Amino acid sequence: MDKLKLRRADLVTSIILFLFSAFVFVNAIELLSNTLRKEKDWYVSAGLFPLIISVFLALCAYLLFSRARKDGAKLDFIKTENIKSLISSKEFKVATFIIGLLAFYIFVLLEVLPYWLATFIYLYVFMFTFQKKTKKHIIIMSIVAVLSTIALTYGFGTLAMIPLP
Amino acid sequence: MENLMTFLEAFFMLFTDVNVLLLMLGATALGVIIGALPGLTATMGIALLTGLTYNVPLEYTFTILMGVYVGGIYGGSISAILLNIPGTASAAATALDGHQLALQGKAETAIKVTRLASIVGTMIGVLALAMLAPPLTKIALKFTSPEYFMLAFFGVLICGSVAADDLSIKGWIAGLMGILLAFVRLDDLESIPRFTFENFNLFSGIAVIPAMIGFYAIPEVIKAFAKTDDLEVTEAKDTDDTKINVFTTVFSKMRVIVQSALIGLGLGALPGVGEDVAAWVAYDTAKRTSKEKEKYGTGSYEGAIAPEVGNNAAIGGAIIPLLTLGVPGSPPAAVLLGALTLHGIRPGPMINIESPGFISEMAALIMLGVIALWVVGMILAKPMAKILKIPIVYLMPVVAALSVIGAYAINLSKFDLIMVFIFGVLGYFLSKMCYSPAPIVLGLILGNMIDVTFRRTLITSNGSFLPFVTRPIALVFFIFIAITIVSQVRATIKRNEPIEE
Repeated sequence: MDKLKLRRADLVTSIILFLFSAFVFVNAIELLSNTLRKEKDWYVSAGLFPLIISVFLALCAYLLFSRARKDGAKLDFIKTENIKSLISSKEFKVATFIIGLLAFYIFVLLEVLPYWLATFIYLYVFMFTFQKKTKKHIIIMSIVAVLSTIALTYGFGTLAMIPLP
Repeated sequence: MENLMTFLEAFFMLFTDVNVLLLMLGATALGVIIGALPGLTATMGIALLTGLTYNVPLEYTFTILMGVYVGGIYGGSISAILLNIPGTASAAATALDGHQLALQGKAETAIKVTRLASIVGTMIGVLALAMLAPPLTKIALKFTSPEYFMLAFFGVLICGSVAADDLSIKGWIAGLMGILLAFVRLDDLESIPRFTFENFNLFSGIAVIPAMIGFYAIPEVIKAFAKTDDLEVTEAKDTDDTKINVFTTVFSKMRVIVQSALIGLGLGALPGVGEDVAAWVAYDTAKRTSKEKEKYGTGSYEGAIAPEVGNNAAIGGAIIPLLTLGVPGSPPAAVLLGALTLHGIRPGPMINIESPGFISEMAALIMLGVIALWVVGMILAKPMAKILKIPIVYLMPVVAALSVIGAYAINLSKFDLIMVFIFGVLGYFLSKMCYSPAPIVLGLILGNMIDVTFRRTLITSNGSFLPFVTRPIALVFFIFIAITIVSQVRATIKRNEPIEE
């Protein structure tokens, strides 16, 4: 990421961080009030340190915001064409696919299929998507997917005696 | 002397155990391969294997994990030399001169020189661990809540400052986020749920190993496929006919070795700082103090030796605070902390009483790893060029699958799989914005200790903050913290020229 893009991202991050620190602050105040209501000392409260950390985080968010602004970043970059260009970039597509596939593996495949089958399908789809689609490559990929599935299932299930998900 | 004898006894006992020897050879070889493959790191390797060794006896578990640690830190230098891509961040400085040597037809010699430098560095680290850790546990017994609070907070702060790729403030933000993540649990003092959102799975806190797997492994898988450039691997053999004696080359740089080892030990012992920073500081110091500064970056053996001695000496350095104070000195040591806890070992000042001889055993295992590194390094040197050509399209999907099952194996909890996914995605976006995972992980590990020791200090002093500045050790850390904050905030707000689009 080039420096100006990074600073623009920092600008957005600093706002998110500020909101997040406000959320922690409010929750910490609530925890602190609970402690005081029970007539305990303030310094026993589970909310004390989160309160301090939330203030520190807000200060860091402010410093990040001001640094990004000083480096020339502005919020006017949130435009339709910029969002379109981000969505059509290779990295965005790759990241979305891998995150989606991982989510599908964890939340769907492992829930409904035995471990070995879920893992094989996941590995096969993953490798197939990024593999050159020649006969030779598909054969190699299939062998790698099968051997990896066997190694993972045997290594964790049999050798390490771990009940597989 | 007594500590040295205990260490030697432990070493010879392990050396005569064939199972330990074979495991160490295998684990070190695996570590070298993991370290050499770009995208796979020693931290990730240890985290993934912690799950696999869950049911393995303690002695064998740490043989495997220490073998991977020692091998992994060295392995990064091979790809740094052959590919100009450091396999691990700790080998980044090695690439500057190591790859130049490879381009000059001296790849094989460069690999041998860095291997010997790594072995020397690790040995110095081990000796320091064996000699210094036991007496340090006695000093650590003097640590009470204010000292622990200051040390742990300083650790997260300094880790954030030095691990940040972009701005120091980002390192601090990462550290604070880690500390906040550590608060998600049942509070130790009030026994009430905190930030758990009534989710029962969060009552015992966020599991560290699944979080580490998420932060370290998943982002690398995504980044590997987002890259478009192909790797160019230099052959691991010399084309230059000049005969170079590896031993003479390395040991003629004794000043650089001693200086880099001390830097590695010192920085390794700082909480969370670890091998990466040690390598850069060792390289920079060697360059600044060298009579042949101009040769650095052009293929200087000295430039390849300094970071390798530094990052490998940091292994022993990082284990010292881990075992004596329960505060990890580096990201791989942070995973080892999780592994120790899983196997019922409680690191800290009481370790010599609760687990007598464990420190010497760990030091002996690293020493055994040094020997294994020598053997494995010789065997793997040439095939490494071929191993490095393994296409990421086969390797990375397997790493992702290994991450999922590795995280699950720790607690046999499907909730940990959700954690891997969440932290993996979060880790990817944070790495895109130049936030290092090291301070987040250290914050997650030390966050609860920071909170509890802070409140315990206040409880024992009836709400007074004075113990933080009146106890000598705490005061020293307080001064360091104040200096770090003031200097870094000044650097952050210092006016820079706007960046042109």
